[in-house]
Amino acid sequence: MKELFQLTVKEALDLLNKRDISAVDLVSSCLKRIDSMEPSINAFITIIHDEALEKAEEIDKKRKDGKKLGKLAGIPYSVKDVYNTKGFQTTAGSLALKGYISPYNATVYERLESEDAILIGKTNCDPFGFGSSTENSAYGITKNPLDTTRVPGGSSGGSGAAVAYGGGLFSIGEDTGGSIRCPASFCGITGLKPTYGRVSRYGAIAYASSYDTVGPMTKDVYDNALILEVIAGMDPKDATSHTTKVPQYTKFLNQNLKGKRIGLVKEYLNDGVDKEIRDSILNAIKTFKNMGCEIIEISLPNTEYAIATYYVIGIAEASSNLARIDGIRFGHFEKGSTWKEQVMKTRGSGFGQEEKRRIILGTYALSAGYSEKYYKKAQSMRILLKNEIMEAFKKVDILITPTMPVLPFKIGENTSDPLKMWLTDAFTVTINPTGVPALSIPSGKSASGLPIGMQLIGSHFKEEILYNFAYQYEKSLIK
Amino acid sequence: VKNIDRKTILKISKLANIEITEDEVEIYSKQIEEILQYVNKLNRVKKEETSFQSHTNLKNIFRDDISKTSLSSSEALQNRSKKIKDNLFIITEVLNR
Repeated sequence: MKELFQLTVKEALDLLNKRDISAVDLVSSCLKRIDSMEPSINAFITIIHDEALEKAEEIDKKRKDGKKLGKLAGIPYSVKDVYNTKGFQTTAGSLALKGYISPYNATVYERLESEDAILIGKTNCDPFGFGSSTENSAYGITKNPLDTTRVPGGSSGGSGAAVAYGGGLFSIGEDTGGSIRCPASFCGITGLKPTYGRVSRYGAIAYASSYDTVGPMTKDVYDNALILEVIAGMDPKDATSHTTKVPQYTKFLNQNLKGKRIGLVKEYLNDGVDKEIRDSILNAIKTFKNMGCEIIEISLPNTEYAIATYYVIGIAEASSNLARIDGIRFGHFEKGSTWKEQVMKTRGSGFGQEEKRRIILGTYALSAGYSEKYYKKAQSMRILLKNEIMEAFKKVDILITPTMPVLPFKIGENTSDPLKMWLTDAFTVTINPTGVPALSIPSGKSASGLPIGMQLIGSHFKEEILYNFAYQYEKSLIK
Repeated sequence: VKNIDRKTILKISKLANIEITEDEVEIYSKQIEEILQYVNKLNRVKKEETSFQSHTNLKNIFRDDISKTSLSSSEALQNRSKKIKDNLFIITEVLNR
């Protein structure tokens, strides 16, 4: 018999509906798990004990009284600490926002609350999403629960670790350049970066506003589709959220894949990819071939410019977004004799190394004389990248690549060389400038038992196709 | 050609309103130079795409200008409860008298 914290959302809902378990049982099991794991993992910045148990009691009572319940009634979950939640601090993993209590809620949190899901904690992350390992957090490093000498990925590393060890049944991550997919890959779970605009960004602390996406991190594909159904859709509070109708994603999982076309991107299986990862992806491709899929080799020649494009625009937008953090209205504050000195001191001591590096670089890329050379050039390349990937989707239904070119690396391995760290994001950051959705699922394991992630990329607003392929693959692994 | 020297880093960090230490000037000059060398590859591309497009074909959204209730002052000021006077944030002088 599984422990309750090990259940998927679907399994837990079945048991709750049959009244085999109560919401209090389920929440208690996850909280107990968190208490025993946190000393060695540090996935959470804030753990919510009392309020979560109170809410669980309320839901159990409502269920007993036969009152109407939301779709996720009694399911414990976490959110990355970039989502504003009234009443609980929101730090974005940065000292600059320590103690900040938002006076309003993020839309994604409101939607989950209105479906009666239960927030049990807010997870650790690289500050403002700046990182691929969660080593930059001002609240300590998160360790990978599958091997505590290694990183959980980032920036939503706390969410990845929490879902992997059972600290809540799912988590909401945030993906600006792989921040959901990288930790999903490193922690052996399922993570979706939805189409830009599919899920409202309202109340999410911004990194790069034209890249930021809000997505589910779950134990399996079904749960992921189920959570997306709840959180997706137009929100009047986010003008970039899209009016495209939200399909019932869970209804698409079992469609037959015979005759469907998969693009294998040549540039994403280059020599820089770990051999075990390449083999695992090619093995998965074989599995799809056996299901009757047609495999087509695709070339995206501008891929070599994608990382540079991503970072130039990303840091430019970040430097502009983070200008609002000045210590006057909220967060960390330091005194100075003039306004300028006070703001410079506050930001100098509130921001960590990676934040300062990105803000300074972004300011440089936008400054007079250099914006033509870097920013405008990157915007031009961004359109070329989008056109190139849209051209590919005329030939195939999805593209498959490794999520990460490397296995989860050791803690401290890349911290002294930021460029090397940035280059490990080669396959994830390239997606955000184009706005298309991408899903990371486990494709297998290395000989040493570390998880390997496979990235499925689809056309704008075609998340259901990604889920269909992913679900069929997941099913083939269980057989 | 080197893009970044000590003077540039200090100038940019002032523009960005970030105080940095001597050690940080050293570290950032080196790291930022390396990153700029890398992203400079964008300038090898001759093809230009200058038309403005959003990546998901977004359009401007308009709505009627209807007034709604917004955050109360006490909520908006709640993170600085000790540095508030008459519902305003107290800050250090910006302009010299």
